[in-house]
Amino acid sequence: MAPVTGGRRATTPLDIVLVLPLAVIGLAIVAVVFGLVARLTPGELMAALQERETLFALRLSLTTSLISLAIAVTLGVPAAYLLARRHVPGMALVDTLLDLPLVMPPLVAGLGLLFVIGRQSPVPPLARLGAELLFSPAGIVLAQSFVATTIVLRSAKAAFVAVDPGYRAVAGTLGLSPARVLLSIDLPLAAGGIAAGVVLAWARALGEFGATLMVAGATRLHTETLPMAIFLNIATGETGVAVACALVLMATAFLLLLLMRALGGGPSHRNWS
Amino acid sequence: MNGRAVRLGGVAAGILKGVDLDVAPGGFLAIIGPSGAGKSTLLKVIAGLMPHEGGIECGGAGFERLPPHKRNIGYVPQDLCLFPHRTIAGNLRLALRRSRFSRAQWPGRIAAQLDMLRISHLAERLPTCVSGGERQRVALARALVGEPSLMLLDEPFSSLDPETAERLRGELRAIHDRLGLTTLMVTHNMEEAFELGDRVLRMEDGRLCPAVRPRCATLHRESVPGPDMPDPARGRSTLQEETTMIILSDAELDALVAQDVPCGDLTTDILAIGAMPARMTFTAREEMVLCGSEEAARMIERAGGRVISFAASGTRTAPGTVFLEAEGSAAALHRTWKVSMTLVEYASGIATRAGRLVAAARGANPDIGVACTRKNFPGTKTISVKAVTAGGASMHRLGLSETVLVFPNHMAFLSGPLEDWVSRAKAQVAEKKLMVESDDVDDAEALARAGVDVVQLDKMPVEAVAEVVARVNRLGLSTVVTATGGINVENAAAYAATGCALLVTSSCYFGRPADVKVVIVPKG
Repeated sequence: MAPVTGGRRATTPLDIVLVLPLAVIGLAIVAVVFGLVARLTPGELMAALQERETLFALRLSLTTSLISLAIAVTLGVPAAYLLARRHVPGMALVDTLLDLPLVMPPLVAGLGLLFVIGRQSPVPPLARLGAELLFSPAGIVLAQSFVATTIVLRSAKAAFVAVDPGYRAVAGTLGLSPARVLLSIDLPLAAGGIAAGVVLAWARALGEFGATLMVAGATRLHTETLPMAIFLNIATGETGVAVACALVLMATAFLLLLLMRALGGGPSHRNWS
Repeated sequence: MNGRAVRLGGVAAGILKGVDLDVAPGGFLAIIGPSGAGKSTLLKVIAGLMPHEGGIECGGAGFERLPPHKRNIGYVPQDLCLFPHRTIAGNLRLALRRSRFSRAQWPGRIAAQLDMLRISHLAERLPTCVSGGERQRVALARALVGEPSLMLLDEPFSSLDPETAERLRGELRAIHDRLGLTTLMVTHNMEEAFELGDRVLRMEDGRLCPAVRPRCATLHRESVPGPDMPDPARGRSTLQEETTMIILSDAELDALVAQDVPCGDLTTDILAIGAMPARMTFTAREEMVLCGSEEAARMIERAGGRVISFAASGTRTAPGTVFLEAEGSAAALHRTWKVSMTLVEYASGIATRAGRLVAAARGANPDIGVACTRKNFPGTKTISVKAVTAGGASMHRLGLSETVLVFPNHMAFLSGPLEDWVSRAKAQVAEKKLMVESDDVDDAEALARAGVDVVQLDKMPVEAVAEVVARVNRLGLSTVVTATGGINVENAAAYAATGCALLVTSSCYFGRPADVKVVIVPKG
């Protein structure tokens, strides 16, 4: 046991050595933020933010990401509830499969989507669907929801698993039907965990780039989300709009981070027991 | 009266192996047993929370195909599972959704139920913000509020301090009696089971068996200093206070154990299992009159074991009844297992035969006495006397020193008229009865006429005994006629019907020992 003074552990030489990597990480982050903020003067930033392209990208990003999030929650939460309560043989395989989108590079996922609904799709009806979706704002939603759904699924499953099955059993004996148990017991108790997952999924949808590029392309003022606007404007040397969009993304990410922290410390099942 | 009859037939699930059960409407069944015996599983199966084989009926309707929420039960699990995100009133409100009460009636119903359990003041609190006893009341209120037709209680008082538990037990029983609610409660606490249940069963290894109320229940040792220092004096005084006066001395018990384990238990030693904590149960394999359980318990205690409960000598057991439970090191239990079991088996064999013979004789003549002779196996008088007594019979003569019984082998040395030596003998021991044995009807009549107090008829046919009784009655004599020689459980009724006052028999001593199963398992 280390000596304890005033409720804090005394500093050891090892601690001093360990401070160094921490400082490197912190400085790198600060440098990145500073690099972005310092690139433009406030006047230039205000001008860039009011550019038609910036506003278009912001509006498109918000609309598509929110639609994607709705799809992700609609599919992910019910699927998670099923996975959390039923144990069937081959579950490990299903679990691994569902984790794949989390580790798969988005660019690769987008490529796969492109081939599945592209003109040479192995399933012809999907090719007809693809003609509608590909290289359109709807394609952005497809790419974003593909990425976001598994995130919602993962966190919702973890949240449901953390609810003591005893509550469910007792609720049943008290006369609550399975659907009522889901609504009155499981959802409220898992709400904190699910909400944290939703925020994370939203952040991922907002920042989605690789899969969107493959499925929706990068067409100025058509499929131009915030990440896409950064990409297009840097490519043509117009740093003003690129940096403005980057700062908007960063500010949003920061706000979402705060929101998630608030939810994590809020009413989640862990605080009850 | 809400209660429904509950019937289980051949229910098997997990550890449960073919459980049959019948609970009358409004009955309160308590099930005791060690943890892991399957008690909670049984409740879960009835609540519909576990798949199972076999049939479950409630109020005559099959339960098997009903999902839990259509069974109309009130289930209080061991960990209560109060919904943490709802207030206490909110917890009760959820339980009313499927009840017969309309939404408008809910507030009144909830208020009444909270009032019944005296927690009205907690209605708007969250379950996490009330005490353990209050949580227990909330769980009971929530289970009761929808007017279930069956209550299932899983260790409802185990997490409470003894005072709170006692108060709540009283209230629960009162509520049960008022509502007439069929209730199944499982508990590991024997006192609780016998206090609350109007029937108590025991679950052992997934099977239900009869439970006996231990006359010498638990040996309380809470106040003994030191965790592993049993206080033998205190334990023994409890044992002796409540049991029959006939006991084997500590020296006799030690001698019995020493005969079996003179120099250690080689098997237990070489297996190096002696130090492991263990649990031992004695189960009657057949219907029997128990005898020697106190001695078995004391042997185990003297070896360092700890008796949890046992049933007293004289208890009638059904097959499967657990009558003794003990804990201790494997060494202590193995040391005393066989010798205590054998003692109980032999003693219970005698007690059981005595009990049967008494029953047969009293069937023909409710007033007849049954006495056993002193033809016990030499050296076993004390335990034999105890067994005879436990079986409901009495001892004929404990020995030669204090009773007077003149056999033909004595009379061979006598001469002169009968009346002379009879009156001389009676004068010698004026405060005792003079008993004389005879094997002839006329001789017996002559003895009665001569003033003998008791005529003992030896190996005489039933008709001859009846004839002697008839003659004594005709003569208006007060002579007591007893029958002996060849009397056993088959002919006891016939002899009893002759009108004789007492049957004297040795047959109780002869026969196989009672069958007792002893199981020793690691504890934990």
